[in-house]
Amino acid sequence: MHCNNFLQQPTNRRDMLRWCANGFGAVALSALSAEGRSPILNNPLAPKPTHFPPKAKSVIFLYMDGAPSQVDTFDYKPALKKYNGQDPRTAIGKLERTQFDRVGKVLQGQWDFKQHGECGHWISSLFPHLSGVADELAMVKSMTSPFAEHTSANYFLHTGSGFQGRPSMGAWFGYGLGTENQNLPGFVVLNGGLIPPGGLDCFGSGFLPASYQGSVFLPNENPIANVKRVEPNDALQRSKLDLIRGLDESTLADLQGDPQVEAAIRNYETAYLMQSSVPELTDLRGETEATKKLYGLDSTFKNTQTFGKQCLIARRLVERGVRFIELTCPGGNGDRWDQHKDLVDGHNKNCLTIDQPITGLIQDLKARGMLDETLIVWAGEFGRTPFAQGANGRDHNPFGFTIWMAGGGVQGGSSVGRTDDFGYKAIEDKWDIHDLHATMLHLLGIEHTKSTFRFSGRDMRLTDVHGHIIKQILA
Amino acid sequence: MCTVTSLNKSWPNAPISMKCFLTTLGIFLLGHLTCAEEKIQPDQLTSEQSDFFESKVRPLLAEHCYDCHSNQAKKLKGKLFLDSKWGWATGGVGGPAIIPGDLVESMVIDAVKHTEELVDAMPPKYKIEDEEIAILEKWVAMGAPDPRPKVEEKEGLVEKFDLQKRFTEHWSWRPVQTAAHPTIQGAKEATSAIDRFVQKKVDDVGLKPALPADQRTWIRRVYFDLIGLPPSPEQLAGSLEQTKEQIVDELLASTHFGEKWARHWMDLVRYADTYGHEFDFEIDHAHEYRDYVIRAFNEDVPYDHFIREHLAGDLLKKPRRHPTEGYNESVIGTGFWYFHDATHGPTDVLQNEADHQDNQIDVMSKAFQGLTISCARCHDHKFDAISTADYYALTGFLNSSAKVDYPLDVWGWREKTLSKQKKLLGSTSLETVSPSNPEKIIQSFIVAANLIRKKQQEPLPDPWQGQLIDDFENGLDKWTLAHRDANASAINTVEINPSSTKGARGSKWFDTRAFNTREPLTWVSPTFTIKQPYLNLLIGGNLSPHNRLELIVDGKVALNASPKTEKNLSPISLDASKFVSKMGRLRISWKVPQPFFLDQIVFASRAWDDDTRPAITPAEVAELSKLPNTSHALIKQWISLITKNKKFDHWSPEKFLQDFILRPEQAKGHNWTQQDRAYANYLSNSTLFADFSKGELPDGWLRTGQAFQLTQENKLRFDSKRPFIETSSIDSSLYGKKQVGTLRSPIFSIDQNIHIRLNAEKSMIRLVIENYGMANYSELLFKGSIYKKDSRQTNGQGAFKWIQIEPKIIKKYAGKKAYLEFADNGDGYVQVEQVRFAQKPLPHSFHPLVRKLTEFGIPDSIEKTAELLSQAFLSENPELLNWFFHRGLADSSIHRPEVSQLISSGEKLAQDLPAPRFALTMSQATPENARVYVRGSYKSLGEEVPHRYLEALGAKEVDRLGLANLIASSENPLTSRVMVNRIWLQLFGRGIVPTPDDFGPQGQLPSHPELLDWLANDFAKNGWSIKRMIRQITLSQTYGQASIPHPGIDPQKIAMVDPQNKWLHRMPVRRLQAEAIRDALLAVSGKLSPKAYGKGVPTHRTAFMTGRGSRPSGPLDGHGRRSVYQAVYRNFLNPFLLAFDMPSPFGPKGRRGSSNVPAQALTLMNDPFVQRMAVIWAKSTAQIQDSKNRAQHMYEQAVGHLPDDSKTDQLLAFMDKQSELYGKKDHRAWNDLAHALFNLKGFTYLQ
Repeated sequence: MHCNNFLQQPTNRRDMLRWCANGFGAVALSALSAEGRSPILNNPLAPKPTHFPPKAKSVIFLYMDGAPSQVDTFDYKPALKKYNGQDPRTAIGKLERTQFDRVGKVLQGQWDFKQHGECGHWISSLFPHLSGVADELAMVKSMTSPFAEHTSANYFLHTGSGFQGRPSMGAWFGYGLGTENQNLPGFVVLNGGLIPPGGLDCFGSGFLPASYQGSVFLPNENPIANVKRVEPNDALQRSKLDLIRGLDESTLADLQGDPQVEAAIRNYETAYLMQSSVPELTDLRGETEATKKLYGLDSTFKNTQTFGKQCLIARRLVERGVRFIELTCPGGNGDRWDQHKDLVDGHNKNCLTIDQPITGLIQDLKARGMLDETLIVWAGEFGRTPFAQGANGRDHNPFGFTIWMAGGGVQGGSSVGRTDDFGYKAIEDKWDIHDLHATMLHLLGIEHTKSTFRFSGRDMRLTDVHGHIIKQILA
Repeated sequence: MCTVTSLNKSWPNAPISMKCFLTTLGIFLLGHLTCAEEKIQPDQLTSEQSDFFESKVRPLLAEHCYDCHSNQAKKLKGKLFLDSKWGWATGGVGGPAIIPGDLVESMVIDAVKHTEELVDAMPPKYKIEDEEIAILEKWVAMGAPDPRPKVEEKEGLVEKFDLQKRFTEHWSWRPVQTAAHPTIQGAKEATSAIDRFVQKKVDDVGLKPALPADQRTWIRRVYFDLIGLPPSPEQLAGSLEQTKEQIVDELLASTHFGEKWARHWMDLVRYADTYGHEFDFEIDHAHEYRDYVIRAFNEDVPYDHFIREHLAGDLLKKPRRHPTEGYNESVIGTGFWYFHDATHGPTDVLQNEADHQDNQIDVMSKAFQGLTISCARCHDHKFDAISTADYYALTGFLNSSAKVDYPLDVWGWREKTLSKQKKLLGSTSLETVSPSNPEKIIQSFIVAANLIRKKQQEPLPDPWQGQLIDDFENGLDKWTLAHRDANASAINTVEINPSSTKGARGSKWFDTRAFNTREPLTWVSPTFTIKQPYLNLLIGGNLSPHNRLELIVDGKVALNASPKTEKNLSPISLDASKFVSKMGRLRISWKVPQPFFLDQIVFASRAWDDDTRPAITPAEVAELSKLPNTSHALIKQWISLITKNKKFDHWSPEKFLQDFILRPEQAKGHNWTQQDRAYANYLSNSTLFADFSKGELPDGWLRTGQAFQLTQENKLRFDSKRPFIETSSIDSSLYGKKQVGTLRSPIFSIDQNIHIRLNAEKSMIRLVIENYGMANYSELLFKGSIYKKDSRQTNGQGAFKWIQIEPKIIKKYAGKKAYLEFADNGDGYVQVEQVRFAQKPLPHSFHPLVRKLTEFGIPDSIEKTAELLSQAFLSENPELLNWFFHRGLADSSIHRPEVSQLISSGEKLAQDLPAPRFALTMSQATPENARVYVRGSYKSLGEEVPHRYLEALGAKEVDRLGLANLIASSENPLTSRVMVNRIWLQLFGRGIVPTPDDFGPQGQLPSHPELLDWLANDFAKNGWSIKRMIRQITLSQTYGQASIPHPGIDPQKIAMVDPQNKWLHRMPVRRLQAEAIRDALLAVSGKLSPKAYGKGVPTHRTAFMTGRGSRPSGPLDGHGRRSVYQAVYRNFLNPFLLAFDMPSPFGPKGRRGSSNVPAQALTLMNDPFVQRMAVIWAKSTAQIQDSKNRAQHMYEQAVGHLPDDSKTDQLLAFMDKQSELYGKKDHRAWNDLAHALFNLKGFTYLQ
């Protein structure tokens, strides 16, 4: 096969190994790594030992960009019905400043709630499919965030800091765990169409080495940048690579086996393989009709198809050993989940988009025996106010909202935390994003206080100096 | 003695509230003395108190708190003891943990209740029982009686913050040593100091320095290191003939030197062209700073001066000037403070400011001092000799400064023009400036007004008659349903509960509530010819933009209308005049299953709401202008003024005249007596904050630029549209509209409404709250605090008016600090007469001409109005006169010739000014000391700290310039060390201190401390010359070594003693930095543009770069400009540069990462930019006929060496192979060769 042709370069390589045989190469390799801490020159993505046995191997982070309303989805508040239409300052009491400061009346949940599964999770009629797998979900109904504005909150949710340029959690997972598939990045963002406010820095590597940054995949046959060969056929590229290889070997010989240069040469082998492995990944032709249907690929609503595809590709990425997969939302459902107005229309469409695909993903992973090893997290950057903004919308509310997890290490059907009677503020078992991060790291076998990276005088952590594990929902 | 007053000091921020008063009183009465440690005594407790404490409180504290907060603790947390009264009263890192009697402010209560208003929830892992909380609350409420004495602390439990100890123990605080360089046995006389220091270490570990690198390797190395570009074969050939000194000197003299080294500096100051966050707004004028840095490196500005410019360039007595353009260079350096990211919607503006200050101090302290001062924001530095007070001493400088767009006076032209203009205006003594003979103006008014009135009486056509498309009285007969399987073909319009929906005509209309379906549906009308210019219709329903009526012309949607009212049908007009006589059809598009109504779709001759009469024809005007004493131009001007469909202020002359002529009954409301009374009342009930009519700048107000001038002495200004000085003010157009500048108020605390009497056009007026400057970009939370260029609120149409800052903003940000800023950026003006603070709202302001016209009530005829206008004109009242000039009703022909000549020559001088340029700079504001934010929270204010520098460095109290001098000093132990280390790092890939931004205890120790000090000394002693330092290092033998070890050294030995090459026994191999790789691609292909400076080239956007705030994509090759000139959009960083470790601009990055990942291989293999450069390069070598020569030449271009025979054979074999694959000799094979050469490690790595 041609790729073998390319990979086998015996003579020169053996010569080179002879130079390194005395151990110089190996020692230099580890010693040259930055500050002697992170193995930058040898493969930074190589799998690394965890602090303790992990419950899950991969994370699928379903990012609900724009912030879903907790009181219309998973946080059932009958009191809202009672006070519907009243002045919230009278009904609820003192209100915090909101993003738009256009406070309307108390607005009841706009959909019916019912209890589902053996656990009896309250779920609104927005999620007819997901209700069916209620017993897989572990709810945190008392999540909080320090920011009420999208960008800062997005950065916070993704990086544990409200500012631009810090490493995204996906990068931290890559840094802590490496990846099992050397032909794919460790942190993949499946772009449904909406890059969240704050842009690509939500997926950046910050001060961590660039190799950990999120690779944004587009839903087409060339999902990542520069993965499409520019040459019209393989032979033309291969001969180029042969020439490069030949000349590089001499350079390497001149440098007596410089490990950086050697690693750079090796990267060409991986890159060459990625040209076929990456497009293969997003090619869904091999999936059965039943599977496609399970994910909603036959839906008449285009966004359900789009998100269904993302979910299905997420499963394929998990199968291939990718550590952290984030899904962003498809466009065209109103302004993301950010329903400052037209709550009903916007949330209807957003839920129609994700309900079946997410349910399909959970069922498919379970059927394949992979759910136990995969941690699914569903979260927005904050929640929404239980009172209206204007007439028919809700404003940002970081004081209490619901997120849920499912899969590896999580106790399906469990629930922790409570908001007040209005779903406005968390009042019991209050958690914040650092706690979410600590818990996610924990489930993947990483002690969050020990996964550090020295940067400008401090041992930096995803959880900064905070973070408690949300034990109540762990299996 | 501890008094109530001094107690109050521990809550300096607390408002004098009843709660506070009681608390204070409570403490006082109980005799608790919390202000000094030694005075804390156990209470004299009643037995009741004692019992309660011993039985309830003590066990509880012991069970839940002592593990971390007592002498028994293994590790004391937060330096807080809860096992004595002394412990909680003194408190831990956050101050007192219990305020007796105060449940809200007591941190212990906050902690156990998990409120987290003050501190984290405690105990961290669980919550104590509600009953237990109740006990603690009761205890605190009763004044926290506590009999426990202070226990001597167990050894080592609390590590005290001992600044002096840390200072003495850490190497980098010590003065730079002046030790002589070591003697090396057998070294030549000429061996440089650098080489002696390095060789000493190499000798000490038993190694030998490597042999010198071969000439070509050295030349390529020094080219990339000094100018960031590869040598061309011609340059190589030339260099081979030169000495190293000559080569280095030539490179140092190249403009490219600055372009290379500026980029390193930009990494430190997190340079960016945008603010990031949601919409990635532009940082205005950022590139001026980048260009400044490039020039500074090229001119070899002494580094100490460069520092002064950065920290206080605005305060330098003698700023440095641009060598040819003459403007102030020094001030541009201060821009570095402001390259932080920024959001447009912070709900907490003070927190937002505190966070940005953190970043600013981080950048400043790391870049110049290698110190992590911002680690001390919330608590004293964990490791270094830096206290929290040190941190807040520095924020004080920031609180006392403001961000200003500073006008760059190119060639000093503005200053020179100003003095010429002053001379000109001053030289003319003018007794009177009043013009004469208004007759033409008045006559023209009369004929224009009469004509308009006559036209008013002509009837209007009915907008609902004309080309009727459908009124739905016969249902949807005419329409085709564009939906194959809908059973809705029977759908027809039905009357639905008519009482609930109003506005329809006839008895039926289109109403989707009649349909029994939720399917999206569309209907199409038959095709028709559009005969009339306006499409009028009635429309209503749910406010969805997806339900709409569309006019289709040429197969495209030409116009569309969607509901604007929910319940009723309301009229709407679309301008279809562009489509008259074209074929069109209508489409009803019902996408969202919500109510949607339509009725009476008509093409008519006018819009339904346009009641302007038939236009006055040019012939009619021409006819009238034949009348005596009229002018064609003036008649036209009057007609336009009176009929212009524009919203004029209620009390403006235009509004009065329009009402008087067009709507006589509405004109009656003009009664100014009442207004006058209200106004007088207002003046006596408000506070004058600033008065500009006195001929001097009020205290604390500051100006930049040339525009803002006090007008007290003047009668005329250089503006022919408003030539007369109406009232004494500060005026940005006194010397013409083209001057630029800003005017800023002192900082004040927002309290009452803010009212400003001004006259402005196209200028910015804003209230800047807590230095928050993003309201320019988005007013989300600050609406009403800013009036941008063309604001109707501020535009006085040439006359003074009162404006008021939005009262909602005042209410929302009451108590916050703010200043007012007026900015004229060159195409407008602003005149400010006074600023007032008032509780009351602003009374109506009105133009004096209105008063004149209504002096005797509403005039009863056009002629009477004309007479009043004439009197106004002759009144010598400049405000009245200006009105005629500003409205184009009078021009300079009215003046006496010397007056009009004076004005026009003054204007001419202003017109000739070059286009304005600005730099982003820091400027002085009202000096103010900062207060410590306890635990980093502005809600909890601590002691006040003066403006000073670090205690470890003397704590000298200084202003910002003084701060700059303390840092830019050879006495400062860090400054010179940090900078020579940065230079060393860029040349060797590793610093002598490997952590260039952290010289503190958490950073790494210097490998060659004596060398570092020798270099630092040498640097400061020799004029802080960066070029000299670089020259010295690059000419050293150390830098000139080969990158393979000395052949006589056993590799095993190296692996043992210097595997990291820490001792520099050879030159390290380095990967080129991102910019150098991209620039080399451009240089080799011949595509590199020599153009320097200017606004950044927009980033080329790929399919992967989407999201908010995106700008139009830039060119694939970035116009061939060097990477330093490519714009840095925070949210859309250049992916090519990013792949090779260009840092994201968020904080100082003195040392870049050098990752080594497949994405880099993919980029060089498949990025269209690389491919494109390969094609261009291959083409540029086509004139070399001989294939072998051509291949060899290209190889040399790429890697700087000539290929040996074996390599040449490989190149030629490749050419054959490609030809074979293409089936013929093909130029594409050369493209392939070029592409392959770009992928060589020899191309991207530097030996």
